[in-house]
Amino acid sequence: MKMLFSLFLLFVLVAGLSGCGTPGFPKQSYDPDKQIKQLEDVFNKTDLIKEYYATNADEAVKKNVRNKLIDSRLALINLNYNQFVARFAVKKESLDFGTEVAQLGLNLATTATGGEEAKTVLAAIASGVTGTKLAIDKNFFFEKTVPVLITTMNAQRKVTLAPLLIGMTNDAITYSLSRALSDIDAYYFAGTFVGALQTIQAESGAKEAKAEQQITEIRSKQFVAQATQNRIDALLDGISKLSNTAATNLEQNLPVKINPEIDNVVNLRDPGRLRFSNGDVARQMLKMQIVLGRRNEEDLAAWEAAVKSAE
Amino acid sequence: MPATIITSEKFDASIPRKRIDSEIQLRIKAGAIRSWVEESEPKWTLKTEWNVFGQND
Repeated sequence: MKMLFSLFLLFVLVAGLSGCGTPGFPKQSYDPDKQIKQLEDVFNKTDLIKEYYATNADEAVKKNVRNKLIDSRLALINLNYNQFVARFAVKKESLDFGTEVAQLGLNLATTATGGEEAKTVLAAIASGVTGTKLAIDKNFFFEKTVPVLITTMNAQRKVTLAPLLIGMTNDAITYSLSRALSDIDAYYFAGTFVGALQTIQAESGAKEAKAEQQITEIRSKQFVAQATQNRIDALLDGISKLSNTAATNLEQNLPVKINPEIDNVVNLRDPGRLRFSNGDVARQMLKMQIVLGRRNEEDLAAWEAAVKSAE
Repeated sequence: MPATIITSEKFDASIPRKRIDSEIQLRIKAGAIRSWVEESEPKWTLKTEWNVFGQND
């Protein structure tokens, strides 16, 4: 019995220890905490802002002071950001490993122990550990989102760093300290979960932006007749074979009158009017106009004649 | 500026599904991103998504 409890304690100890270290993050060659403290001390003691706004400060001094401020703040933000990212990666990994080992230990002890009462108690603890982990997993809202958020933060930090790097090459009139401070705030915000979520939301919103055009004419049986569909299919093949020049020429001199609704789709789909100069765009637009357009004998014959003469 | 355009067309309810499927194939052949039947009653509603030139190309 004593041995069993020793085994149990050993497993619990291993489980506890497994939370130490930073899995996935190699040790830094410096002490980040110490560096943050040192930088904060320097940053707090300096009178850089006062120096910048001194009435007799010349432009070169202002530029130098502004860049010092930017440098020090960026260094601090970066150090804190690295720790922030590492902390979230560690929490989940150590939680998984720690609870799994503790659970293994309890299950083993339950199997090995003799008394029914002890078995019940240990089994209850084991299920408690499993249950706790499940509860944490369920509520650990970062589980799936953390990698996405970190990738977004990294990308957005690069985007917001650019104006600072460009600004630092300019004089203090072109790139004032207030603008720099505003850009630094944007850089800091890009490295937060809230900032990342806002970026994701904005990007997905842009991707979801769609225009819709209703074509009011009800398609009849004649429109979808096998023979008609075969003619449309043949026309699409004919358009694919057109040279760039032939395609753009045909787009400029359409053989049929286009329905205003379809014309609207054409303009929405090609707002830069690339169809008049780009063969690929012209071919795709012609195909869409044929598929969506009227399919009466007059229009079909006009398309066929035009494609044939353009080939 | 939208990233894609969706066209919505209504087809007579008496048209067999097979012919509608052929229409979907024609739109795909014409360069549509995707085409699908959204409603079948009281009429077939065929939606087709088209790319916008100059957006991500």
